[in-house]
Amino acid sequence: MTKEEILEKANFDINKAKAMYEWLNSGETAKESTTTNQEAIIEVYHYGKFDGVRVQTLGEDFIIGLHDLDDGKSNFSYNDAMSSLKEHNMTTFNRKQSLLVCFYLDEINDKLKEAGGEAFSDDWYTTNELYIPKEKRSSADYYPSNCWCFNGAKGCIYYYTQRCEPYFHCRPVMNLHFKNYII
Amino acid sequence: MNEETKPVSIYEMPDGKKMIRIRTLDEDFLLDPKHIDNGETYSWENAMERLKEMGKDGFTKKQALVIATYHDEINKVIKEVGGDELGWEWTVSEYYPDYAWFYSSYRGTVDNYTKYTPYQLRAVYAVQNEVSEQNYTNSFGESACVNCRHCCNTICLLKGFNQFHLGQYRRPGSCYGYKSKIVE
Repeated sequence: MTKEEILEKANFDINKAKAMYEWLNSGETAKESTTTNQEAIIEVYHYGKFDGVRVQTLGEDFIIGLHDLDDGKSNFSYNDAMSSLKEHNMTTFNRKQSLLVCFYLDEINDKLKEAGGEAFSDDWYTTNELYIPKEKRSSADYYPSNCWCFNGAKGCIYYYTQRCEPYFHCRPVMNLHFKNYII
Repeated sequence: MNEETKPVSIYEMPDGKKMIRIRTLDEDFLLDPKHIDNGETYSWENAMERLKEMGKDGFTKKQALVIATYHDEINKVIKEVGGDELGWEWTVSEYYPDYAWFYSSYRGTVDNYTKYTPYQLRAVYAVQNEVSEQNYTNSFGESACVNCRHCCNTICLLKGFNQFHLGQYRRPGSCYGYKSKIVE
């Protein structure tokens, strides 16, 4: 059996892998928006086994999973949420993506329901980004364990100091930046 | 990126005053680089009264989310024109009868708090010299504002369209927001 046949049998797409490798080594982290008044594309989207709602705008391109981690039955600390996501090769929102979710909360919730998923609940959802103050201006800024989070019903963004306590809900996200580079 | 197409840029008013133009997503507005009354703080109710007295508008919660997205760029441009960096500032959007939305810049947060809290205030303006001739319709099929595209008054740009995205604060004599219409 040739190498090509082995790869084909394994359902391995070498062209995609090459494109991904080039992207990873390009130093480019995301496509920047070059237009203004750019409205978002929000659509139900299927990517492999990952079903969800795709949001494309301002250089971001990501799919929001249909359900919270553990179906929303459990709350997670930031650390536990990150570990659990990593086990499943997933991530969650960065700060900018969470702001976009807040901006388009109604539209995204509608699409999540349309796709058979669950709207965001009235809970705080962790992002994958830590809050690092540029200047320490208040006692809260001295906590070493802050992370950004957003409220799924109110559409607002804040940070929370107790990263080790099971306080957050978590919604899996798949980033599709790299998809733009794969022909 | 061309200055004209940047989401955050300097915009010169007809009177020569420099504003910060924020043009992204479905928002396009001018942020005053200076706080109102040299950074005086107001409770939310007093802040809304002050805006009304001055015939000005403040930014909405949705606009605050845009400001949070670009807070570094906005502060940089504010510094360039000699303005006041973003601080703890009221939006014009209410949350509950006793709570309203505010923006805190150095942390880049958007949250709500009791209306009695003293925060600063900043005016926003519509971009007045780029009124398109294109016709837009709102969800009621009416001819809509070319900027917010929700309210039915095509000249609301001249009266402060920024209030109408949420329809929670209605200036007398101006057109009504699409959510207000649903209530009516």
